[in-house]
Amino acid sequence: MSARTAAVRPSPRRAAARVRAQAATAALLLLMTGVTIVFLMPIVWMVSTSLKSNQHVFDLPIQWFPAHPLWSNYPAAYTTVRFTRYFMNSAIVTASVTVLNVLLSALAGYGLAKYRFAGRHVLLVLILATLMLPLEVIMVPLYLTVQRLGWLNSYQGMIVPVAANALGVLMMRQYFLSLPDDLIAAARIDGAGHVSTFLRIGVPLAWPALLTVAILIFQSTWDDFVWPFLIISNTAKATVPLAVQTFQSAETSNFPMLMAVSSIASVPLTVLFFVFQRQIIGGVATTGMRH
Amino acid sequence: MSGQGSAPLAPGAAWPAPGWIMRARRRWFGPSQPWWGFVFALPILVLLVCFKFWPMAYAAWLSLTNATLTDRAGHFIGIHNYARLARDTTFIGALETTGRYVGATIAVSMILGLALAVLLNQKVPARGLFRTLIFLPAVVPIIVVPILWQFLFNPYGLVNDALKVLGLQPVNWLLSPQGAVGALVVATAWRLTPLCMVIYLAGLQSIPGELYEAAKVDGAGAPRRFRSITLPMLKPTFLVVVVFAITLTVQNFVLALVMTGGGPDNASTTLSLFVYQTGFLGFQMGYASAAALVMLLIIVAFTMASLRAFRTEE
Repeated sequence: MSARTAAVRPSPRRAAARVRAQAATAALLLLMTGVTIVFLMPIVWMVSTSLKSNQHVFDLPIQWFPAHPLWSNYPAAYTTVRFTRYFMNSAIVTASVTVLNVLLSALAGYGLAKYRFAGRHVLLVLILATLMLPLEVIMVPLYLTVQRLGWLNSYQGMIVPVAANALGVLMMRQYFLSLPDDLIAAARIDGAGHVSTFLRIGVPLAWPALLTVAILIFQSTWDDFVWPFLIISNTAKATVPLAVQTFQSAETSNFPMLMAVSSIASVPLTVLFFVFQRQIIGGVATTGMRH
Repeated sequence: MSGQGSAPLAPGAAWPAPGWIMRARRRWFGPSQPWWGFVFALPILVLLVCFKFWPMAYAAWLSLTNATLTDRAGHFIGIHNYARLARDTTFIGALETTGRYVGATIAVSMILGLALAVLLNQKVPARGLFRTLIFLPAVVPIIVVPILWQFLFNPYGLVNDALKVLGLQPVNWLLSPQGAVGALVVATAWRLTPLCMVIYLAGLQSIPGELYEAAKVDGAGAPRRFRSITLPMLKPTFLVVVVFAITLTVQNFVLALVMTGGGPDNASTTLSLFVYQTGFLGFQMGYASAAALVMLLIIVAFTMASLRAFRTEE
């Protein structure tokens, strides 16, 4: 009733408040747009430069949208770097690490959440302690270990040492803790074994958590540069980040090509982000909570 | 959590063992077979032992030897490597650079991240779109970040163009000691800020709205509400962001490696880059391991310190 009267004959005070609210919203939107432009400027500049010729890269005034975009830079960059091979290598390594990691995390998370064996807290703390241990701290001995195994320049060298990640265990354990024990107890009473209970009850119920872990691991493995960089010297086994770095050290000043290569290399993770935005942002927000 | 492993002994069952063995046995081999939990955890445990715990122990041992890439065993030389680190001006310089780099990066990303989170937490149309767009720097592959920023910090690059527009002197970023570290800070903060923002946003959304309503009724203005509600309620989130940011910046050497190569004249050599250069370019595995352990010590110390500083009173 009051809304109707307000629509017919707005009181001056309420109208003023509405104008003020709209002005505040407009100011906020303006501010957000400004901040977004600043943050995205490097990315826009990367794409913009990738469409120029090398002699016009530093032209002033700045051309954000080249008048004659050189689309041919992209096929040229793709064939020069021979991306197909590196995308294949990255796909092999990333898929293997993701599958292994999700499987191991689900098993361990289930075991730690659904069984009360003595020492499970110690085991959990031991596993979580590895989160404080970045690769950079152990890269020297890890390299020597992998060298002793004869895994330098090999897929298994890129896959096995990074396949175990405590973060996945933590996330899976949290998820399994939230599942009621009765379901599992019921399956056990019906005579199902431990493994088949896990496969038939645990895994199907946990698929949202499995998906989140898979996406986060996929993303970080695809993006990983340091470990392949240390153990791969044979370009036949190189992943995309390695190929980009190799191209960069050979062609330091061919900026349009360099930016085209960078743009191509950015495509997979960008697509992944737009498809699984909710899981990725939620994952970042909660992985912080690991401590 | 009922029923699992806490089942009582069958009445009248005779256990000829002392109490603690009895209890341990029950907690492993009770009717619900709790030992299966360990079986489930075993595969990942094996991998973690092989590729985390073993290398960690190996690093500790290596740091006490003069092992090199060719002489992998080396000889035990006690704390000689650590004594040498204390006298190594490159290492001391790397420590200082790391301090400045990490300190500045974290300050920038934490403050900017909070500002962005507060801004993007306002109720305006299309804020979801803005959140998505601002997150994009965190999606750019880590190897592309230094390549892109090396180009932007080129003497004729976009950053100097922007300085000229603002009427400032252009800077020779990557070839001056101060500029190189500054460039690393900007590039790292660019990628880190959106990540911090997302964690802050989760924290902001967990603050009950009634608190703000009550404060509004009591006549508290926006700055007062921010100071008296938002900041105290975000305390646990600050901890998360600090630990997250410290770990990421201390360990990362890709940016320094590709953007500046540690130069000019080691001015932008961070601790992790020092470890890489000593171990993989200088082949001094023992000496590099000693530096790596110092790095781990720093990460753990800062994590503990921030845990203490931001501990909530509970």
